[in-house]
Amino acid sequence: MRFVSLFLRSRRLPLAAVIAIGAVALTWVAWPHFSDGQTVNTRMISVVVLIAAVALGTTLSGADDSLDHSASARWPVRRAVHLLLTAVAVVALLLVTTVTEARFEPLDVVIRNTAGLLGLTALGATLFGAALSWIAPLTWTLIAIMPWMGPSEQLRMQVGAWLIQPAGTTAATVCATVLAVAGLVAYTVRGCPLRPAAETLPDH
Amino acid sequence: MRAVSAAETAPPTYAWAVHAERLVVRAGRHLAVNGLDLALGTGVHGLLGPNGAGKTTLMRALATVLKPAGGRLTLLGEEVTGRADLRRVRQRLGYLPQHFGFYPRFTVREFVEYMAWLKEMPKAAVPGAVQRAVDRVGLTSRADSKLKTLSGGMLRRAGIAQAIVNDPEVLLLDEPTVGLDPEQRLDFRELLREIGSDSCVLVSTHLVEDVAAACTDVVLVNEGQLVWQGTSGELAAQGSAGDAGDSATERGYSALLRAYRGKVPA
Amino acid sequence: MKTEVRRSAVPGIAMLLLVVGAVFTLTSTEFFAGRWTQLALYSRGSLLLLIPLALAGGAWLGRRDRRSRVGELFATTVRPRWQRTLPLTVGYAAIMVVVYLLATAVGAIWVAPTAAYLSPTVLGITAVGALGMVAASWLGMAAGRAVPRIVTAPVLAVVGFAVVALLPDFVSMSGYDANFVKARPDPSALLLTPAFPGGFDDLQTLPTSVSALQAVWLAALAGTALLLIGAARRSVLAVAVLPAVIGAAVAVPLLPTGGYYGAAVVDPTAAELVCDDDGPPVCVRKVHAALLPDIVGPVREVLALAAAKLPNPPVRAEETARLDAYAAPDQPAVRHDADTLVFDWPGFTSSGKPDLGDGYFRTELLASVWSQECQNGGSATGQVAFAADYAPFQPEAVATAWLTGGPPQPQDWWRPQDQQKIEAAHQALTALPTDEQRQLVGQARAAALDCDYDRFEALLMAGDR
Repeated sequence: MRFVSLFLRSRRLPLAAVIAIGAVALTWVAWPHFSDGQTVNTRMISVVVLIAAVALGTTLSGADDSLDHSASARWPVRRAVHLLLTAVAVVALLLVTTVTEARFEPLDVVIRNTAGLLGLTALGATLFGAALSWIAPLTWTLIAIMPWMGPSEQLRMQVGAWLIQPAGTTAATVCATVLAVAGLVAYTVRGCPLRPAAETLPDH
Repeated sequence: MRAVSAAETAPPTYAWAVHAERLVVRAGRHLAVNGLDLALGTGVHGLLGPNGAGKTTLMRALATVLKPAGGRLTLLGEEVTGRADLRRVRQRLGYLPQHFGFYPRFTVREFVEYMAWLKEMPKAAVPGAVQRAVDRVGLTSRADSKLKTLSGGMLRRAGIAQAIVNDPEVLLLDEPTVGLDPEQRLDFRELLREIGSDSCVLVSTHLVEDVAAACTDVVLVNEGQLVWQGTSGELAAQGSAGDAGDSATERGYSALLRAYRGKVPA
Repeated sequence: MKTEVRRSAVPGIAMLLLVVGAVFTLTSTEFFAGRWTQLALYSRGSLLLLIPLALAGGAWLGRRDRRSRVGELFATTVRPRWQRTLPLTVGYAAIMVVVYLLATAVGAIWVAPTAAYLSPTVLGITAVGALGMVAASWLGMAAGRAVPRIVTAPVLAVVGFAVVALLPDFVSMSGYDANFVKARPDPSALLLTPAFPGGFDDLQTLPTSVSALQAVWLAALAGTALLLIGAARRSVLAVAVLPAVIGAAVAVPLLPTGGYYGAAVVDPTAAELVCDDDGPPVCVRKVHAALLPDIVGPVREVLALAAAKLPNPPVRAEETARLDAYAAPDQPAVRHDADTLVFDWPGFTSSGKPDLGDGYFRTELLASVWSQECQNGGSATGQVAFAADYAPFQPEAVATAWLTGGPPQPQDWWRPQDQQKIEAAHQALTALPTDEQRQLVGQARAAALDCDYDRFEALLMAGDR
């Protein structure tokens, strides 16, 4: 238990968790003022999941991955567990709201968006490092929530704006699954790039 | 002296703790280590060489952080090139990089504990090993200070502590004495000699006096290849009055480099 | 400065934004083809994406700058901190402006060959976009210096998007009461965001006065951000906020209310007529001059049909000057005479040509023979009127069928009984002697152009009895 807590602190999880929870809480509190409906609309769900994914994406690497990798711990297993638990935690957090007045539902959309965005974040972390892993999910989400994007019959729209398609849209689900699996596999096998540090610096 | 287990008192099944044959390691696109042959046994070995000679890349490859691009590397009798399970080797390895990132809110104790945990030391042994490592580097009074409050020299000593916490059989130290005052350097040399009596220690440094005083063996590399290997006494003997340097060791170093550069066309 | 910028993360950030901006422009050429004003406005729309990314890039650079211990070395020199960071600060903002202009320039390929005029308002519109990028760059850098965490960049980008795009939307929406009537006009502060929400009619533009005020505000905001970047002590922070406060205090009272829609004005040059006179004159508004060569044919074909069969036929065709109802809910109706055929422009395709596919334009032209602007826009209940009032569809189908000489073309929304009625009325009409047909339809058209739709229906559906 002690070492799990050291691990999470070395990954700066407290700040990331605060931001993720804060984003959900802020939306949950503000939603009744936006609208009379109980269900938070898909655009807001996507934005909140995005914030959670990029904040938690910064935990995908530690202060010095090279030093960590000179140690014998079995990293692929740890990375896979880390990513999967993160996804479960985000979904669970949003699930809690379904008993309240401002609900992040349906569950299918929440799971799809979380898995897809976290997978994309992990993919970005594997390719560019955890500090830049937010670029791809941020850009795609901003494009998907533009005012003129919406649920549509066209395949192009369904994939491009997969985040805001209604539950059960096959193309969107497939897109999210591909991103989730690709991210999980890439991150588990490769992890973040190991670059030598240029200076001995505190890593916030 | 470190505590030894029954398995370790048996004679070792390998000839060299670190054995590299025609090792090739890439740093980016550049071949930083290019056909290096190296054999290191128990003792303290100094690694000398000009900037850009590939010392840091070599250390990273020996620490199994970088995968070699060619040649053969055998650590503690196990081959680490190719598809190998590196866990057993890494458990007996200690590494201090030249520069490292650290989480500023960790205390020294937590930092060393975290690395001990990563090296899969038995959980019951960790607190004792951490305390011992912290004592050996002389940070006992600052063991519970946060890393961000430490000076450069203290930070480096904390780094040394995490490298020695698991009593490694191969200890790799890249510039361990940067920021240490002369008294601390003397203490450090004493620590090196102690560890080097039953482990293989490789120290990469620019400070030639540290090499002369603490190292039983000196390895000189340039442009990714081995230039010379011998004792520090033999190194001093290589130099003559005409070579650059203020000490015999420095003169020997300059002489060897000059000879190497004369042999190898620019 | 050049080496410092080149070795930093700026080229990577610039590449990302350039790709995103260029793709944004290239995937929607139909919205601005042949029209400079629309290109400038559309690029302001791309700020919805570019500003969050510029903020994130700035935060990234600010963090990098702060982490470098090299700063400690330089602290011993005499130069103050702000002078050391100046090259990167200026360089990043300059490159962001260049990226914005390049992403816009990519679209110019569809505009430069065919556009008929360049409104001077375009300069103001583009300048405001550039200033928006500068402000975003520097605000990002200030945030990155203040909070040098990895999470700063992405969170700032999302917050920036929320402020620039979602907040104005929310404020605007909250102005509607339960019956979807606009209870209060949008506050002028909505114009403080440089991102253009879209929804202008092609004849509209943003006046230079509005652009100037926005420029003042954004320049002040950029000044505040610059001071925040260079601020070494806490006491400077209070002073640093001052320019932005003054800028807002100056701009907000002078900006028009109603957000971007309230600020829009009709561009007189855009509304000028451009005509093709080799035959019956066919005129379009200057903003759509790129359409003229390709629509002359279809329009003249319909004019010829009308000339052959109608008494008092239209002898010239003109594009409507009426704005889309959502852009100008309160415009008055302007009646045209029987000698003019007033039509609505076909959209552009993504290659910059008029959208003549599906025969939709021809159908619309034929319907325009019988259409007239009857209602002033927008009634008391806030209902939106249509661009022109089309005649009731049953007699109109009969009349069009008579004009083209073919049977009535069924449309998707016709019910079976509609189809029967129309066909019966058409048969009855064509059973009459030719002169009587002509006279009847002529009178019907006159009634329609007089907005007397009851008479129009009565005349044409008489055979129904």
